[in-house]
Amino acid sequence: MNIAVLSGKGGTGKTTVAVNLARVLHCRYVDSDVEAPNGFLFLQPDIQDKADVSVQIPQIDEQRCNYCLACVKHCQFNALFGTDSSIVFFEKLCHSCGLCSLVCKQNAIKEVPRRVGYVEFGSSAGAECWQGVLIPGEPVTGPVIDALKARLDGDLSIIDCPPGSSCSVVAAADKTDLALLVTEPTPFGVHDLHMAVQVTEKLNLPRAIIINRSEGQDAIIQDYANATGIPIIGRLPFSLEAAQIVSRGELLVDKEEWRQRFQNLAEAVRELIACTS
Amino acid sequence: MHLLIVSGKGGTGKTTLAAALAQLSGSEMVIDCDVEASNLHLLLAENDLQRQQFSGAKIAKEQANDCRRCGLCTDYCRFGAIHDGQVDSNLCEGCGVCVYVCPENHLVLTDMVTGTCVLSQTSNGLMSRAEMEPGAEGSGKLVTEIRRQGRLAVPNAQLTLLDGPPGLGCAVIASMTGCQLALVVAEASLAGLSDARRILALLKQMEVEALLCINRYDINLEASLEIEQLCDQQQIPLVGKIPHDPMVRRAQRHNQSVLEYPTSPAAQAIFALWKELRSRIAKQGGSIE
Repeated sequence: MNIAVLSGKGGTGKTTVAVNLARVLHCRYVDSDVEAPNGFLFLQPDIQDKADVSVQIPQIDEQRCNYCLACVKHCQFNALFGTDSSIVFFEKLCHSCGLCSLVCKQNAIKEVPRRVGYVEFGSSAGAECWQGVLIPGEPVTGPVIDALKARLDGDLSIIDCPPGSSCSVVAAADKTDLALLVTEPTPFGVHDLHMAVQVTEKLNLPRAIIINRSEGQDAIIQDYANATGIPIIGRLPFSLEAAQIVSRGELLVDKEEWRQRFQNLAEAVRELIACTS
Repeated sequence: MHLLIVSGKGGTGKTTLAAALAQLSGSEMVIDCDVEASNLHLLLAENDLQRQQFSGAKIAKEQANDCRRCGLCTDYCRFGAIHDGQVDSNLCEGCGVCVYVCPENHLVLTDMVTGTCVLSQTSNGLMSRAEMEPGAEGSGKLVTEIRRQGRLAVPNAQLTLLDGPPGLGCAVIASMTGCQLALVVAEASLAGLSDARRILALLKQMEVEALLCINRYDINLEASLEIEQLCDQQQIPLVGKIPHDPMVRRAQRHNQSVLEYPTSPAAQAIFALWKELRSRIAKQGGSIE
């Protein structure tokens, strides 16, 4: 059972919800926000294993190349540029699809690995913690997210997804079993919640809304939930104190009053799991 | 002069600040580069002048003719995006490997609409923005496209203000390319510090001059101090510190700019920040009235 935590808008409290929920559920936490991974700051796991994530890129043997430019013509990502006497490769545009080496009749293209990030595996309070980290300057997040997801084994895992609604979110949330949508009761919050909802629709995921920084009625979100039929399964109240606790990298569940809130949320999530499986 | 507002971490206040700076600077062109979750238009856009679909990616499509299920496409696709000749549009990256290996011409590459580029009117000028298709590939290309649209609409903008996306992947890199100046909005928290470090590393690589401001600095004075020390070490000018202010939340709830509450502590800090920023822009050779 894999639960994706997403939001559309950044900074709505995805990581706060994901780490605290993982702690009360005693389950695995997976940080797939590889551009800005922050979950480990809260969980402080002991790292037991680390692996580089590499992608395959072409290396052109100029001795063999006859500059037919078939590779240049076939590349859909403009990662290769050529003239009748040279070929230039732009590694950051490459998607590692392998088409250039397939089309090369001279066998002049060999694929070699290039490191784009790493994954780390550890544990905190007896539960597993995983994260992926993209190296600054690398544009493509998919391979790092895939390296995490390839290790999922069916044990209950909470997947902390990136913000936004692009292919990174798809990579993180695809083939999960349930999406928890964290939002805040503001016009920005509901606008971006709708973006996230559309992604979950595309992926056919059951979903539920969690309102962070709730102010009680949260009419703006409540109206959206009513209109779309997506249930609201929890509300975390707005609190300056909570903001301060989170800013220090501390877990909210270490405070009694918040522990109870997250236990209630965990109960609601367990019910959803029972319904979806 | 292209000035980008970025943060690494989401929700640090980029858009709130961008809206205020757009008003203060009178910038004729504002670009919302957060195409995956764009919000700036909610505050600034008055009406849309132009909408145009943009195809920023390709996708493999099945043809009507029979597939023999030879499985070559499945074997060669590195994205696990094709099975029994059926393309999974969520996973297809449009590379064309399946089209190339298919002996039956069962597959073709087609253009995929990845978003709609929108040109909107603001009170000061124009805004270039996009509505990305949910889950689409190529958010970076869409950013490049709306930046192009912005340049075409206002060819000689004195100041182009760009509201950046969170993170530091392709959309952020596309937003940064060719900018002269970037203002990092760092949140006074451990996570904010960690992400500010990463975005500063990227700005350095991309050779974009960085400035930094701390938002809600008084939420965590220790983290705020650490961010200031980071600025010292890396010789990044600290151009402002904005306090936590309940009026910002109030403005957000009512979809207003913070500047609607000009006496609020946050608005006051943004006025001071703008004064500092303006002199930095002037130093960079940008001219603004």
